[in-house]
Amino acid sequence: MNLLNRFGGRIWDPWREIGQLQNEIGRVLEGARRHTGFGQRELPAVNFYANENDVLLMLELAGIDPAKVDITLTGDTVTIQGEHATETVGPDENFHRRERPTGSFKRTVQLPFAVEPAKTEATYEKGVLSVRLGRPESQKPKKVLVKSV
Amino acid sequence: MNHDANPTLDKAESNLKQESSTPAGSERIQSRKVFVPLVDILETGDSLILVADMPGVDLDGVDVIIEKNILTIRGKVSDHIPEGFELRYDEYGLGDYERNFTIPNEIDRDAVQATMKDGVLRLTLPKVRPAAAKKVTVVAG
Repeated sequence: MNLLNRFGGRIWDPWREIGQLQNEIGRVLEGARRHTGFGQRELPAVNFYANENDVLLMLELAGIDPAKVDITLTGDTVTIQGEHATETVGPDENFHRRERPTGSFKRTVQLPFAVEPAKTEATYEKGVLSVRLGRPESQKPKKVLVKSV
Repeated sequence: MNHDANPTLDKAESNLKQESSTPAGSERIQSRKVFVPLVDILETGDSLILVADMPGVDLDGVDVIIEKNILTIRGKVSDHIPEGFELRYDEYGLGDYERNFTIPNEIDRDAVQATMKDGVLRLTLPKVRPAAAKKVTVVAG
């Protein structure tokens, strides 16, 4: 198709316009996604609690086998991985709904300080995994006394 | 049981906790959040199995109610944060769970069984055995 008119200029091409519009929309959506972090949120979700001595990570992981959960500490990084409880069906059975997470999970959390491996303990209760991490002495907040001179 | 009285969960967000909606025009009295538990529903030859994830809920906190053809599951989350700990950062909300399902007529309401373990509620809804076909003899009037 001859897209050049006799003056040598480009004549209007609707397909090109549509392509440009698509690119534009894609760019805007990409920006929005990056901005909100939506669609790339890390799972499983973690809640983070702290007191003076310890920090506590909590993850909602219903029905998992705690024996298959692996917790690794490397400096200030904790990695928690395991397998979701996955329902399976027999040959004559079928799913009407399948919303619960399946497969394996892995979550890495970076803490504001290095943790003491000896002071780490994990418990699993009511479908909630709690990982309690001890702060080493050197990392604990220190009180500075102000002396009057 | 493929009809759900709650709005369908958006697939893209299906792994995130979603707050449950209230019936039109009504408002909750408690300020506590209520989430929609994620479920698997499977059908075997003689029953429907409903598996719902309700982390944080124990045996005492769970309620299963069948009224006419509506099955309601509720889970009350007990406080599990150890004393002295303060929330610093959260990715999931804390609250109770509630979800309604319409169940087919073929379910035997009196034989429903429920178990609760590690935050997972498992309901077995047996189907009623089909009544044997009965032939009515027509006599000449």
